[in-house]
Amino acid sequence: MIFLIGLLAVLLLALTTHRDAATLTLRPLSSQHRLILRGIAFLLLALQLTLQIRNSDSTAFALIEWTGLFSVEALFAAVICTVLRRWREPLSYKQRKFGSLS
Amino acid sequence: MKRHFRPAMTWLHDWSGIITGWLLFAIVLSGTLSVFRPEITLWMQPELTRQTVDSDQATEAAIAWLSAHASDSPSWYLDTATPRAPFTLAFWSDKNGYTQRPLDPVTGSPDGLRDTRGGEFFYRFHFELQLPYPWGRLLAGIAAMALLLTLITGIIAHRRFFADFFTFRPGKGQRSWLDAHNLLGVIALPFHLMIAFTGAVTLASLFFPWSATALYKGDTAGMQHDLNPAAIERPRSGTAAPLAPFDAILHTAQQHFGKTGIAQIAVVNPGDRAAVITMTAGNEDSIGITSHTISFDGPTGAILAEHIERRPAIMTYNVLYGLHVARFAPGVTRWLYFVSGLILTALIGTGLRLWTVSRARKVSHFSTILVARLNVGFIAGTPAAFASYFLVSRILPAGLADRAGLEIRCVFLIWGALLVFAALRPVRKAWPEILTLAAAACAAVALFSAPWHRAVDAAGAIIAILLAASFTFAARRSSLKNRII
Amino acid sequence: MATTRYRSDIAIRTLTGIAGGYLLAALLSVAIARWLPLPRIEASAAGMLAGLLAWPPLMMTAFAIHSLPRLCAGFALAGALLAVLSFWPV
Repeated sequence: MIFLIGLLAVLLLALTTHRDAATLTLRPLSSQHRLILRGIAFLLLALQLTLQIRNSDSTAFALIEWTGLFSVEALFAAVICTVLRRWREPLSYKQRKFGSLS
Repeated sequence: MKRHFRPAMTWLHDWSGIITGWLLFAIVLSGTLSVFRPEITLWMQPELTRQTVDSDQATEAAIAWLSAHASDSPSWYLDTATPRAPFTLAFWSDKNGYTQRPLDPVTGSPDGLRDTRGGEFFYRFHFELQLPYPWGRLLAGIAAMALLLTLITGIIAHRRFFADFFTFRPGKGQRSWLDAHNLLGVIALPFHLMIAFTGAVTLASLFFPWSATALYKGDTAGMQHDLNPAAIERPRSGTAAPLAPFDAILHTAQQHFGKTGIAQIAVVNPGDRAAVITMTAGNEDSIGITSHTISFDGPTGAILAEHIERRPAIMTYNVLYGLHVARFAPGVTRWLYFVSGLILTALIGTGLRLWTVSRARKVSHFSTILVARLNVGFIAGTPAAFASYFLVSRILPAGLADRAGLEIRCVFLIWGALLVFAALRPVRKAWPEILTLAAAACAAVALFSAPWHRAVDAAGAIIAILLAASFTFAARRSSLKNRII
Repeated sequence: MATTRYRSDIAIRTLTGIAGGYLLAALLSVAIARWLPLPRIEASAAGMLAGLLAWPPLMMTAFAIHSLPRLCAGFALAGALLAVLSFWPV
């Protein structure tokens, strides 16, 4: 549950970056919308931290856990963005034939 | 000045990274595995099937066994049994020098348990690199400082820190590697910086002893005493005297420590009139290590000294140290340390890979080929060698003489062989081959975890399967036709 | 000729950063330990941590300052100042 709150927040943050907004939504967002989304995302992250502090014996422990969880959530968000982008713009013929240039 | 700054920092990032990268890769990977140090030891001790142990009873049994069999040792050091590690880990000296073995929680004896270093191998390798003192620690300390330097210069070199926060564009060659490198660096940056700096802190006294030298002017004993006033040191008297009943001493210590319990016990001069028993409290409730210490007079069991750490600078040091070794960490946090460690390992791996990818279009220079081959040997070879440690530990017969030493020699033999193989084989072929080997080794670790009854076996198998899948994926990708070496 | 000059520039900076930076950091740790009004063990620990923190930025400085003479002069001056603080008889 705590993880999902954070994941939602991080996905909202991804929406506010130029490149990933184009991936996650069809239309680019206005800068005002972006600001609102970013605000909600930070509120959600703060809510997540508050919940963790309440569940934990020590604030320091909760803070360490929150930082660590953020990394995992951001990794998930990046994977989701990548998969969605792949799904939106399939590989070119050349890439499929010869494998990608990696 | 400003136009010069970023290119200079990028240059420094590239060079400090490439020079220390391979060493750091091995250090960080072994450190990541050390997060589960007691669990790995337990995995390698299939005979230890007991789920719960009474820590104090296990300690008493261990002390009784050591009194009967290791009375000549100048000192004994015990890590007490915990729910994570249901055995006493003892360190004592016998006729072959110092040995470290898990002791059975009921009999207190190492007999019947396999002779293996278990997770201690990864832990020791992480900062001693299997080299004699102080060379391994010096190298590890330099590596930690270099990691810190490379991280800071990397942040400066990264131009689109927030704009590219979640960006990964696969299938685009160098672009993709740079995306992956940036992504892995940025998402876990607080962890990376913390672990690099605190890693340097654990070895700080080796690099910056000068402040203490200047103030204490060679009075090492005085400094040791100031460092922990409850650590009593006194010479052997030569008169024999048995240790006081241990259950009473343990009971007193438990009362003083409260719910954190006893983590470590040192018995110096056992069996002598001058015996001292020093107990250190656990730190499940605070980040800092060694926050509470008590020492007892061996023959009488009377308290000699007690110390609760409250001095700000020493506490800062202890907290930084504690952040690195993460003994405080509850379950979830421990897993997050493990995942973050893997992210840092991958960060270093992608960085090393970028070096060759970004130079592949230029004329194939000798140095580029050398880097490419070392990359295969270290990035694919190290995980394969570390996985083989688990396999060797299961395959070698339980009663073999010097079994622990043999296990470690096997790891280095396999590692060395893979490095030589990678140096001789064309890079394009070596990548998929060694990665496939690593995948096979991980899959075998999952199989050798059978019958998966204990939690460590089941969890170990799951991690091994996930790693095997990742290596299989990497091996397939690396065998694609038009990829850059 | 450009490459020799480039190489010697890099060599000097590397040496200044690693050896010079270490020397400055070590002197800083001693100076801090001597002048902090704390018990001996506390001052030692504080000095040690300060030295550790100072080394990486010093290394970066060795590569960040464009003019080589200015860099060497700066390091020498800082070293002299810290040496005075470290060895001044109290």
